Amino acid sequence: MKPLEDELRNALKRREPPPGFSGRVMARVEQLAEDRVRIAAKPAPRRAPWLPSSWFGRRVSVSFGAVAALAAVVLLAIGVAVWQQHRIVQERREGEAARAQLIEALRLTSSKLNHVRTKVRSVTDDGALDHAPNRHRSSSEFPFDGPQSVALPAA
Amino acid sequence: MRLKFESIAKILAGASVIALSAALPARGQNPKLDLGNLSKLADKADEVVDVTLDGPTLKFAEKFMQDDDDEKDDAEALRIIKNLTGIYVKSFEFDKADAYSDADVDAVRAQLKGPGWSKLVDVQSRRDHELDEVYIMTDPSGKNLGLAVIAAEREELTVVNIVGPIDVDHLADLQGKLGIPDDLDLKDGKHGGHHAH
Repeated sequence: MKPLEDELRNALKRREPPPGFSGRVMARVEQLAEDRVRIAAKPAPRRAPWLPSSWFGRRVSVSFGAVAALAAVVLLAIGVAVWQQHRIVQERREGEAARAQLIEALRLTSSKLNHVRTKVRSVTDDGALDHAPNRHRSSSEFPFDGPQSVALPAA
Repeated sequence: MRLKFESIAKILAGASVIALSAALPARGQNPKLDLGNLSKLADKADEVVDVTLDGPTLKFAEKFMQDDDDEKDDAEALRIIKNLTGIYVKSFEFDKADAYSDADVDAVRAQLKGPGWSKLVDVQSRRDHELDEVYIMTDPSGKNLGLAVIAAEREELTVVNIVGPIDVDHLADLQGKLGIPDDLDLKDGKHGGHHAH
């Protein structure tokens, strides 16, 4: 047992710290204290009060700034979608109006051309042109195949 | 060196003239009529149809006709308007006779005396006080460049101006299609269509 006691005594023997050790420890303690004061003085980011402080057991920290940015993005996306929809509806409305105008123009033109065609045909079919000295019939039977000049009888 | 530069300039100028003359209709041939003088009749008219379809608007309408898949007849109309660059219609129905003057018609007719225009049909009825004229503009090669129709009655005046190659027969055959009734009272030229203002 003697040697063991000797070893223990030797190991637990008081030793003097190296020079400047206590100074370095005190400096470190002061530094830590200063850091703690500085962190305490810095305002913590404001949390949005309606947001849960934990999410599935995990602590979450969301600032007002992040929420505002997210809201702005969502609003912008909604705005773009609404504007796109409005533009599509507007374009469709204008297109339908242009199409209606086109059909109206074709309808009117077609009816006028048929009106003229029927008049010319009615005159040429009943032989009125053959007897009128100032009228002539085109060599073609179809009214739009060549120049036609027809003067219908006065009342 | 100077001589060579002048030769190149002459060749370029000549090429430009040829390119321009190929791109444009024959000199002085413009199938688009100025129908502005008829606008004043809108105040006197009972019913007005005023259609101005040119450039992008015409292409826009064409696109919507293509998109309309439930209209089989649109294909016929599309074939007719495919190469057109303008469709202009002014039609006025008055509730009393002689609301427009001969000068109104003459202002349009004067433009149809320009180069390239030729009268295709001229129907005049003194009894009914009716006048129907169909004009067509062709280039020197005989290519159809445009169409004009003047239809005047006592209480109605219609002027149609179509710019671009148009098949008159096919256009007339559109009747009964596109919602164009085929039971028109051709004697009076009346129809039951709606009117745009």
